[in-house]
Amino acid sequence: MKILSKIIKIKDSVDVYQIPVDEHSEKLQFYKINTRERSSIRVAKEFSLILSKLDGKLSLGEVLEHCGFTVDETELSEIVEYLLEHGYAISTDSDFTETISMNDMERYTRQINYFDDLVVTRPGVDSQRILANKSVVLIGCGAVGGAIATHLVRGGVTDIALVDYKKVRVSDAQRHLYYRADEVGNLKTEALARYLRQINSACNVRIVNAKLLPNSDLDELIEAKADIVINSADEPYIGHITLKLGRYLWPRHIALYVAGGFDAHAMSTGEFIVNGLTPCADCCSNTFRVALKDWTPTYIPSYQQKSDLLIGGAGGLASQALFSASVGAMNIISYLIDDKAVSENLHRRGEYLIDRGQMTWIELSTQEGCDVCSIR
Amino acid sequence: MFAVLDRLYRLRSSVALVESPGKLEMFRTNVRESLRIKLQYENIIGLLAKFDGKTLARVILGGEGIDFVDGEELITFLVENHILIEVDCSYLPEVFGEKYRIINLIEDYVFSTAGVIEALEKLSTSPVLIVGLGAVGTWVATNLAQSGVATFILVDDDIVDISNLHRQDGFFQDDVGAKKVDVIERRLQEILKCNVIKICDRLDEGFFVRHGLDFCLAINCADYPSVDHTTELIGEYCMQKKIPHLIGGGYNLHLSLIGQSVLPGQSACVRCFRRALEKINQADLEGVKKLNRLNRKIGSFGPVCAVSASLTSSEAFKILIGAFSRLATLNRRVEFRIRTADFAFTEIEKNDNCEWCGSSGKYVC
Repeated sequence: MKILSKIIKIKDSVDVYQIPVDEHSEKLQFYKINTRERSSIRVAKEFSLILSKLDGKLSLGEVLEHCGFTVDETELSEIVEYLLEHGYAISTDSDFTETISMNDMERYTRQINYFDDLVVTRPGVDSQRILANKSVVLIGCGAVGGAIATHLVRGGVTDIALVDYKKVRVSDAQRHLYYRADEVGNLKTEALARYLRQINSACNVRIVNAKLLPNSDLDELIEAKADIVINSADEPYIGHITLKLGRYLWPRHIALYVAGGFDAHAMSTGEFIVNGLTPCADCCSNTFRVALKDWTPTYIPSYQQKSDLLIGGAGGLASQALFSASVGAMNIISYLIDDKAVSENLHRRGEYLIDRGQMTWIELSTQEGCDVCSIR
Repeated sequence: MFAVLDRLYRLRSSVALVESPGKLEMFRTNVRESLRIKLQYENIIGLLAKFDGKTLARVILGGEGIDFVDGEELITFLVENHILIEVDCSYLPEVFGEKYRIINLIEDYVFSTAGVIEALEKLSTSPVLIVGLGAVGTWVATNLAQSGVATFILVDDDIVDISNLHRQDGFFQDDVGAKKVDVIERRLQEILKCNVIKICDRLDEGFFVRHGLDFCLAINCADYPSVDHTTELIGEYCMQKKIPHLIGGGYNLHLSLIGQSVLPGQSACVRCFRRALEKINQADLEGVKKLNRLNRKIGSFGPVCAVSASLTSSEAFKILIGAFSRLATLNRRVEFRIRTADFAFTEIEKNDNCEWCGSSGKYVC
């Protein structure tokens, strides 16, 4: 395609700064507001004027006509290529605007704009459509699982299965986003499903009222179409269920996200287990075992009178659960629309230190001689 | 003389103890902080386990043959570091049953069980002003209601739009067109009975005069016409009245920003921040022009807004229970890195020449 017939738009989410260099040229710095990424190029001054007119409506030829001068076409091509490659601009002569309905366009417009920057290789609206076609299974509808589901459905996921066996209790008012006093005593799956359908009535919510145990049949819980399974069930023990899920999902090439935010890890990020991208569930579990081999803590439990609640035990606020859920949802949505968007978060789990405002990280690594990882 | 000896102490269940010869590590799992001490005492864990909240310290120390002066010093140290907590009252079973997670976390911030009850009381009686019910304010309101805040002043003049639903908490499809303050009031009431004062108005120069409000903490989550403008208005009013305030992040153009906490007279005020940031930006922007472009729409992403809101809510919680020394965003501008899920800081000092809080400033304490 001839360069002059191309229609280019500098993304709304990109700021462009002009920094003077000399009489003929200047440096253009591009800055993505959403992700705070930046880079710059040096160009002849007339190109700045051209760039200011790239609104996605006029072709480059028409823009030049407006400017009233001509430029070197090879140089123009190089600059356009730079803009497209770095995701500062999109080429609007590709047919992308018809891929989602006008209603969805209205609902998700700000997020679509964000996706423009998150995944630079395609328009944000395509990413939105990809997300809408994904299938998610959530195991555990507690404080963190419920909030992840809320983020996903608000963000445009329309197919989700909810697995849990517990009922809503009064104490869930402390952390469950979907808690309402009139849901106390109802099954968590059903209360959460009602909440999600109120957000988006077009969302297909499948309910499975079951407790996941070491001998559960996963074929009944996880449909083959699933793109990701989120484990946020911390009973009987999150580690055991994660290993079971990990070994089941790995050969099937279904991603697993192990959510954070449980008891002693109230503000942890969670981690991905994806065949071809990360160590397997066994390796992740062994990473923790090796890291903690010299650390054998003793806890002295005190129980509140006539209850199984630990006094002075695991604490947690709604805001802490929201942190874990939000980082999780951010990673999951990014992964679902493009696995490269989360590459830096694939191999580690973080914990936010609430009194320091800092993260600490543990790197997850493949353990030597692992049988599961070798399955590709 | 030995006041400590005639009191009750409890070793907290969430503390992980790791003993090695001559050393003891105490890891507080709730806040992920570790304390290591050197100490020659055989079976120190066995000793700590005796602090069950029912046995007087005098009896425990006497039984172990520990010198009372040394024992008192050790107990005081462990209480100051939230390993032991003084049991000067017990929790009502129904209150503990409903709020055990909040109570167990508060135990990491106070020194006695009466301190916990007092903190719960402060949470439920302190009016909190939240200005702006958008991508940050809605999450903050819910977080705080779930953490025991029971009096809210909510300010927003807008109605729910379908484009709010992807990133703002509490709004459903059927709420489109309703007043935001009404919808959020209903949402908070559905969680717990609380007292909500609704103000369907916009924050401007005359706002505080028009409404004559009484509150203990202000949280700015409004970015119209710009966050700098709303921050200036809230900051100045709160400096006059010496009320702690928080600047939310996560708004237009600053999606990944976590705003600062301000304790008037003790920390950098919003004017200190503005001056310091102007200086930093000036160095960056010398001779630089922004390329002028028309018809721009700015992106936003719910989970990132909620990360920002969650940290703001956690800071608000600490302010409300009086844990000022544990604030993470005092004198700091924090930025959340979306690609790495990590944080970066710019430290901003309280400026002695500040026209608001400096030594000859307008609002000196």
